[in-house]
Amino acid sequence: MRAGLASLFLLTALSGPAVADEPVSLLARMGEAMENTSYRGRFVYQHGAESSTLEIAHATIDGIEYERLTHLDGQLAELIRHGDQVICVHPDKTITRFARPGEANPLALQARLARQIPEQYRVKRAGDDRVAGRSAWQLDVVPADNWRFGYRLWLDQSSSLLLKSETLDHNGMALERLEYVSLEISPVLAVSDFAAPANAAEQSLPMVEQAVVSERPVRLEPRWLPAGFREAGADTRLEQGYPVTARSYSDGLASFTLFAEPLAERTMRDSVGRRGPTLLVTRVVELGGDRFAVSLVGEVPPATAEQVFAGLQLSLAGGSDD
Amino acid sequence: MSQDMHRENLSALMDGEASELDSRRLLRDADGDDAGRWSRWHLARDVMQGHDVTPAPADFASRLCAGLDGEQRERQQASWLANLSRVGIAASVAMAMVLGWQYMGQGDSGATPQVVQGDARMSRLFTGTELVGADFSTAARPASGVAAPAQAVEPRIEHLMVRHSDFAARQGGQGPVPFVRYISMDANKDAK
Repeated sequence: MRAGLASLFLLTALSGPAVADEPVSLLARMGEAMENTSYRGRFVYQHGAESSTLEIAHATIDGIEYERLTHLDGQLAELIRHGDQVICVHPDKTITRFARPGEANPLALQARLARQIPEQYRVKRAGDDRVAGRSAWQLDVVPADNWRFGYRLWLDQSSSLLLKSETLDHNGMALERLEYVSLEISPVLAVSDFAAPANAAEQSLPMVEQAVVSERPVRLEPRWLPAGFREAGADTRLEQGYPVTARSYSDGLASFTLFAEPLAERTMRDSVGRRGPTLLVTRVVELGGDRFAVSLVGEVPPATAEQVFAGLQLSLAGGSDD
Repeated sequence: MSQDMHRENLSALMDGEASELDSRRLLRDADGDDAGRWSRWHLARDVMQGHDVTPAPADFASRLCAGLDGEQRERQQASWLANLSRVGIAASVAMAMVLGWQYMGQGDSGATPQVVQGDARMSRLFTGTELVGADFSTAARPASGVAAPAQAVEPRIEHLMVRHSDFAARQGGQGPVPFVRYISMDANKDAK
């Protein structure tokens, strides 16, 4: 599969950018290129009235994938990825570091992109365009139902990298936009380009085994998911001393994550927030005499969050299901 | 208000031409007929404009009514989902109420989530984007203009956001886009 894609890529590169490919295979190729190509570029990210300029560097060195995202305007914030290590550098120079073991299998991703996306989305070629001085194919990714957002994607014709993307609600309004202004393919990048800066203080989000914590983590069982959404990962991590359980779901493009945490003596109230396409809903619930906060974070329409919450089953891990 | 004038106002709402005051009144007074009309008009316009028509869920109209109804008697609704349902409905019909992330947890209205007006949609900043549907952002913009860029973000929300971004990025569908969302939030918050 990997060799097949590589030769397909080579073939396209040799035969020039005018080859008209199946839109779905373009999407699969984009997923592959985003992981395996070395690149460095600058882009603008916008939602609502907020706008950010960022720099990205991405490379695979000695079999390890490296990525560095740097916020260029306003306050400095960075995200550095070394294989399965994620390092967030915050504006106050503190660092949050966490490991993400169990790296997703790239081949599984390819299979997923090739097989699953057509069911939930219709992918259509929408002509040629230019982004960051490069020729781009434009793809419209139209959802088959109202449970997910749509996308417009601009792919570099020579490298298949994503040059521009918009997330659209069901009225076709852009909820966010990312657009490269410059892109360099195969730049010279060394491991030192991905070094974390010296920092003032460091915190981690350690994974926890259920037996270690005194508070019992909550088990989250959604009885309803939009068609095509599958579990994409789950873990329990200690955040400020509390075990926060997460279960994430994805249809290959859109994702949302459910969280549950014991409140103990903390007070928290129900709240709903939104940033661009990202929705955050927190509900305080009672379970077995204790209070818990259950949250959904994700790029899904509010109605989807509502349905997921309506079908959500909670139980205490390691205890009776009350 | 005469029936004709009411329909005219509803039409203006759909086209994004209703004033903020009119929008609020229409939302308040909308009934089941309005809900049906609303979805029929949207469908008709989409077809006329040659857009792909994505059918609304079968119970969309009844949920819209329930949501609008709930707007009037929200205090009587004890269900912990009542408020969420209201939010979902409002967003579904592209109403002026757009939730601002920055208002998370800062409300003082008991269990009711803060519903604020803001411009969370990009609309007029760019050319080239096909804007389907009404642009309520102008009517919804607060008098003070755009939202202040730096807002307090609770550490708890940061953690949820970074963990979600990591799960989403591992899916790989859009490369680093999930992390970009997180970084932009982190950089635009108040310094700790």
